[in-house]
Amino acid sequence: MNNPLRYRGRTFYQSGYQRDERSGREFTTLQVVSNTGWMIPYVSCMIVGVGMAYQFVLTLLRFLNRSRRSAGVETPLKSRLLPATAAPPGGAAKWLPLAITLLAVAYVGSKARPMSVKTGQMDYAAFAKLPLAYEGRVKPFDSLARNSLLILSGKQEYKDAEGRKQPAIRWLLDVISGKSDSRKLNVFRITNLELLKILKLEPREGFTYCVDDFADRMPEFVEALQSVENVPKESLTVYQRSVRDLGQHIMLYRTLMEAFDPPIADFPTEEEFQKDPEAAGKAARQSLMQTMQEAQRIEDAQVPLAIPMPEAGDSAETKTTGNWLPFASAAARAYLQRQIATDPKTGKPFEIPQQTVLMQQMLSAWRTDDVAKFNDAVREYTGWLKSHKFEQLNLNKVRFEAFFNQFAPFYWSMVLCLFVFILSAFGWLGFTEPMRRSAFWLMAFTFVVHTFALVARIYISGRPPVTNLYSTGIFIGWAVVLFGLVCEWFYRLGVGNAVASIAGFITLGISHFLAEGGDTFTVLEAVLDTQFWLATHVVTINLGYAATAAAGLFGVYYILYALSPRPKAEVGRAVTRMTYGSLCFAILFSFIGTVLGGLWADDSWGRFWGWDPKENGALIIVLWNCLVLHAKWDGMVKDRGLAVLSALGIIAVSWSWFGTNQLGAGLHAYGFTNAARIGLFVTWALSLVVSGLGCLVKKSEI
Amino acid sequence: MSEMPANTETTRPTPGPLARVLAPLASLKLTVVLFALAIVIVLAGTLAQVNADVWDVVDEYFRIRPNQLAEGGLSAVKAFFVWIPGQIFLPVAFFPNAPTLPAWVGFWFPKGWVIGGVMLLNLLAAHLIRFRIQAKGLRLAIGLWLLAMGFVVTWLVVVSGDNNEGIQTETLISYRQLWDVLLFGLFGLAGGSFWLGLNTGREHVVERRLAFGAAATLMAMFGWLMLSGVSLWQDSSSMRILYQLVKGTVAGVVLLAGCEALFRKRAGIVLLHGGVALLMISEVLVGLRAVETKMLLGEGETGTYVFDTRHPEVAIVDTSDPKLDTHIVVPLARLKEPGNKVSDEQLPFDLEAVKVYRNSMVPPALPPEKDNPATAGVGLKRQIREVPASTGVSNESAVDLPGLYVKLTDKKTGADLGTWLTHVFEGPQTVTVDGKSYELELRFGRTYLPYSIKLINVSKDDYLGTKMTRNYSSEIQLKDPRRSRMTN
Repeated sequence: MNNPLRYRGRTFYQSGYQRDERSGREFTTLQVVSNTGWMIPYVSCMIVGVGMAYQFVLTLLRFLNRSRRSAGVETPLKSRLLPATAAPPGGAAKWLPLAITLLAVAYVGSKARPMSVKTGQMDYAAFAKLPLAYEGRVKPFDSLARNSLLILSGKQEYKDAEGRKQPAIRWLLDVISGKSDSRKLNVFRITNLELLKILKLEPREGFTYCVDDFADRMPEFVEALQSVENVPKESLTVYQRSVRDLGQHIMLYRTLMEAFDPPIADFPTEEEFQKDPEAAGKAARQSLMQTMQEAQRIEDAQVPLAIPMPEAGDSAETKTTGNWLPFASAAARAYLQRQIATDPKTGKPFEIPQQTVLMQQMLSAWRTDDVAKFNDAVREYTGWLKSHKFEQLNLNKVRFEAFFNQFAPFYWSMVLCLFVFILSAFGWLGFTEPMRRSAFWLMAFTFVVHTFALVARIYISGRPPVTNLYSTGIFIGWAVVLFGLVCEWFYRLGVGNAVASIAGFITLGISHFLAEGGDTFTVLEAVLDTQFWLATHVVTINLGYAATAAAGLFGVYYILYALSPRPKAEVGRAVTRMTYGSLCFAILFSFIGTVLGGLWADDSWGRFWGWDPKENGALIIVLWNCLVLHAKWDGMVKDRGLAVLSALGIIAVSWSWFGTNQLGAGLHAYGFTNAARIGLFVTWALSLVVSGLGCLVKKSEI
Repeated sequence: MSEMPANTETTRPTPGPLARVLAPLASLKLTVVLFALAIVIVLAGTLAQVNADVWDVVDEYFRIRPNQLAEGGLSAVKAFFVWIPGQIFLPVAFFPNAPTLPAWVGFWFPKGWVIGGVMLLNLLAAHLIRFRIQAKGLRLAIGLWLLAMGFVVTWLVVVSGDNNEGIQTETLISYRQLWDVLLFGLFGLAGGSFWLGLNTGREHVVERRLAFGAAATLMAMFGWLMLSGVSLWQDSSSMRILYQLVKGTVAGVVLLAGCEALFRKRAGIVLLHGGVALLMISEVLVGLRAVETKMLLGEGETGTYVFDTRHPEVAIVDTSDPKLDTHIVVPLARLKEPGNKVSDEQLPFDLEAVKVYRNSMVPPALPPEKDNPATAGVGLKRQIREVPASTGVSNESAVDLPGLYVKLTDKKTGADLGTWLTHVFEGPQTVTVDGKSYELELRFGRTYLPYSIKLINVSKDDYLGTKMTRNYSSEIQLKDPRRSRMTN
């Protein structure tokens, strides 16, 4: 966001904005910095970058020259990397990987089928692809339905009265169309027994309850809610947190209803007008005012905006809602216009926007189970959208997002990672080569799915791959899987498969868990909204995390392998080379990434390095990688020591990735989760135990 | 990166006396130890922010305060070390039920700058001993000349950022040209990789594939940037940063050429170590020289000064001259503890701190309680209430609002002029001494600018359908008596 002004030794940055609500006066805060040497970090960064790149290329060339000199039939690289036992694949080693991969492709492919409904039924699948604007971006109804249901119940599906699984969009349609059945759907997940007692509810399987279950206990609940209102977030007990969460969930539910429920006040009837025109006129004016006010209030309330208004101009009124309106206020305005009949400005009759009418038809048809009317209205509305193009709506993107939701490629990647790990594990027991090859090709397919998902997210969000904590998970996972696959491709020992599958499973699992907060395509704080830095700093630093984590996992593998019954020395050496290679990547990416982060800060508020916890975390990773590499260069550690130190590096990564966020807020902090704390403790304990094992074993075989 | 050349272990001719003296300092083992120490201090400096303000932590854990050094004696020795309390290693967020450790649990530890300084020495010594210049005659001369040129370029680039005279927006080449240069650089890289692939023997299947793969990837990137209409060059903020980085790269390449001539294969390592050293020096420079201030402006207002929230001051303003106000300021740091006295011949009266609040507020509606220290001014109607000071891990924009009860005494007569409430959000109050009025206020330390800035318009753009800020922007008018206007 910042385009700092540099003048006579001082630099002015935009830093803050305040608005006095009473006077409406606006204030700006400028950060004014005088720092003579502000260019030094830029130069240093590039000097180090050039030096590292030179060293990198030089080593590569030397490596190539060396292999060129050593003439041989076998390619030198391969001969050095491949274990002597590797026989040309044949038999089971050939057809098993093919069969397994094809099976996986077929299965995942079947999941990639777009959602569809049988003819003669309500075409909610088509409705799910219609656009709306909410929480800062345009998305399909499907996303709103899934994310809302996920927040309320922790799932993207629900069970209807007959106990059949149903897609979220049906629930959303029930809610927004005001169908009375929607009050009977069990979608509120309440697990706290104390809270259940207040609501006079019995614990039941799944702990999901419907609106009617607790509607009559609202006064008691509101009381409970008020008592937790002023408790600071950090000191909430489990019960208090449940109360607060349920309060927020009910608010979300109400927001959804409100956004689609036109707030039309009662207008006097024709008869009343005839009886007493004056009183009726007064009442009508009052109703008009009331409706207008309510419509305005809903527009200000940041609710889902379902009605596109391509003609809406850029004015103070449309500042928040842009070219969109909530259906509630659009319908209310349409209703009022029909009451007034003619536009006082132009003198012509008002034209009710067609999109509002169609949305109204869809909702009422859904409410009355009118299949033909619903499907016609959806079709007609889709056609209307196609013929009315405007900047804030990219219909293809919205429809693609609905497909992406339905496909859930990250979920399938996670599942596939688990299978890869199982295959790798079986490979250690016997039948090694066919299993290893199967694991590799399945992992490769998983990587394709994962990559597709990552690219899909970039397309949908229009941003570089990493923008929030959720996306760091999927990106770091992707990078570690890539490292693992490359290592497997070169070394063919099954190590890469194991590391890639474990890392993929854990990181995607973490992300899956983080996604329960709702929409994962979140908007960014103003200062962070710079594509350039997102594309450079954030990507690089996360690659640094990934490489350090990969090195750590290779280290863990080395230690565990050395403990196994009959370890082979050449495998140990190969794993060491993988560890070392990952470390070299790690230092390159983490150093450059950290410095770029500093440059971002310098460019945003004139402070290259602020010793902020997240920055310090990144610095610790850099320092740790430096320590490990220098210890190796000095010969202080050999293969086993390198493995032990690398395994400890996992602590540094997890500290920087999640630990610093736990310490408190700050620009970089993403939230407080108890699970993260436990996860961190477990990670650190495991990492310490494995490193300890590596140190304790006196003289391993390799 | 790559394996460090293995010749560190090769036997060299008998080392000279310098090398023998430096050898322990140049040890790689020392490097490793220093890295470990650095990790400890960085971690401690992070954890300390749970309960302390980030700037205090920076001063305490990382930076050496020159004024503490100047005190001499034990104080000067202490300036290099920090006492790290053991308590900080049990942050509440991780150990909600952690016991309170006694105050003596902790340890002295060298400060960040000390560790960094020793690292620099270690680096320097290592380069003196192990990185021999491997050039003679003409090559040596050229190498030295290139290196000198590299230093000059680096210096020029650094100085180019420090524009003392005017507004800095001009660039040597336009962003459009820069973008084209970068694009063709990418094309060149792709070509280079392709050439490398062609020149690798056919028997090296893997290497050839790597090279061709890199060429294809780079080519694809080039094609994408060329054809898909990515017009980053229109985005001035991205291009500004790119431009700065390109300037740095130019300096890096010239230095690399010099290093290559002098150190041959180890040029990359020498260069990257040099870059790291420069970065460390920059941190010291920032710590000693950089000043961060703020300016708050309402629409239509003109500002002539900036303020520093980290350095509040007590100001006594003599407004008797209609043309010129005289500001006499006392840094709050000199009235930090109750009982601290400030007496100066420029001041019309002596000051004595009665009560000092690091972070506080003065609720306008609350009447003072019994123990009100104030005996004059607004302090009779309101009282300062203490607020917990902000910490490094809390909201970043939090600023401590100091408050002070100050007792004033007449210089000549020694008469008590009352104890006054001062707070950064309270306006100036009038104190009369010998029939002359002065305005007394506590404020964030001000620096007046030799020019003025007028805020014409400030706007805030939100994300669609939300009230979350997407962007702020200010349009300002800069008036310098020496120049004409410019807006941002």
